[in-house]
Amino acid sequence: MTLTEFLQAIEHTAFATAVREGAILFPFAESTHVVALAFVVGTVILVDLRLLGLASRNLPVTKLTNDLLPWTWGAFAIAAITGLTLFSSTAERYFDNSYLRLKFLFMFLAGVNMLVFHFITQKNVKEWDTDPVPPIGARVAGGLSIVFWACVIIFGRWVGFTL
Amino acid sequence: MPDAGIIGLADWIASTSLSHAIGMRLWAIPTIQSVHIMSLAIVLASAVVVDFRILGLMSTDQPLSAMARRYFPGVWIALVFATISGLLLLIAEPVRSLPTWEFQGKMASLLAVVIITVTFQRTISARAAEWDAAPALPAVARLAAVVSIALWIVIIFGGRWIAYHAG
Repeated sequence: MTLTEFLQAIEHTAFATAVREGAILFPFAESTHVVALAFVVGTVILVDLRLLGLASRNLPVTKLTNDLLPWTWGAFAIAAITGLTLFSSTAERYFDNSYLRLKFLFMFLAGVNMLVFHFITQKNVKEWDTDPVPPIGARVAGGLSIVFWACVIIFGRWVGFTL
Repeated sequence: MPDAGIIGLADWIASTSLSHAIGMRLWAIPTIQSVHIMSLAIVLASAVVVDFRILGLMSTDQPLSAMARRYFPGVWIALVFATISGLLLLIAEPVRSLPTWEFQGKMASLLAVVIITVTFQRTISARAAEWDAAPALPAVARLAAVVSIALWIVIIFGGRWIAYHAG
């Protein structure tokens, strides 16, 4: 099976057909996608602003991340499911869309940035957990995160204008 | 049927030079929408985090008044950006949005949730002594938190639904 055949097979499923042809399913999935991604990006920005030393300065960094991020991941799961729902409706066209590819590139970069922060920068977090302004590595991670997620939103919005 | 006054207002806004200036630039609407989404993301997250705390779902080891002081300013600052970007989108495409029940419902919901949030901000500060240490908040406060979350979701749905409005 080629990639094109695979994408066409997705489009031809009863589910994708219902999303494509129904009046309500697509807008409902899209609106839910916006609610979920807004919560993801909003909570991520709250953490980023803490890493930049611009907000929640009197709260330990790990306290903020432990409280917020489980909810962020829950919302991310909803955004992923609704995103796949939208994608399935016209899979071939979505796959060919350059803006969607750029969106995924920036989501990948946001993920790499998060992993570097989690496994390298945050190793000695005990030393700066309560610092109002974290060290440069953490500030860079916070700044990059905001830029990458902004790009995810910008390119995601362009998808709707270019399909 | 939307009333003639609103249609007239929409037509007048559409005739202004600012409306033309935004409408003429293909990049303008997606860009302003992206600013709008970034702003509403911060509004939603900041407001819902406090709602979750009121419901006892998050940060129950933190005083409620400290949570309110930490997150409510972000709601208002980001709401200013969301309002400005939203106004620009309205000016760019008034006929498409202003007369629709989706837009009007969104604005009514926004007004309601702003009233709830202001009331929360004042009450949490005024009752800090009792509420910060309370194991569970009064039912009316928890109900208002649920309504607040629901209204923010309705507001986002309303905004997105404008694009699907038939006719």
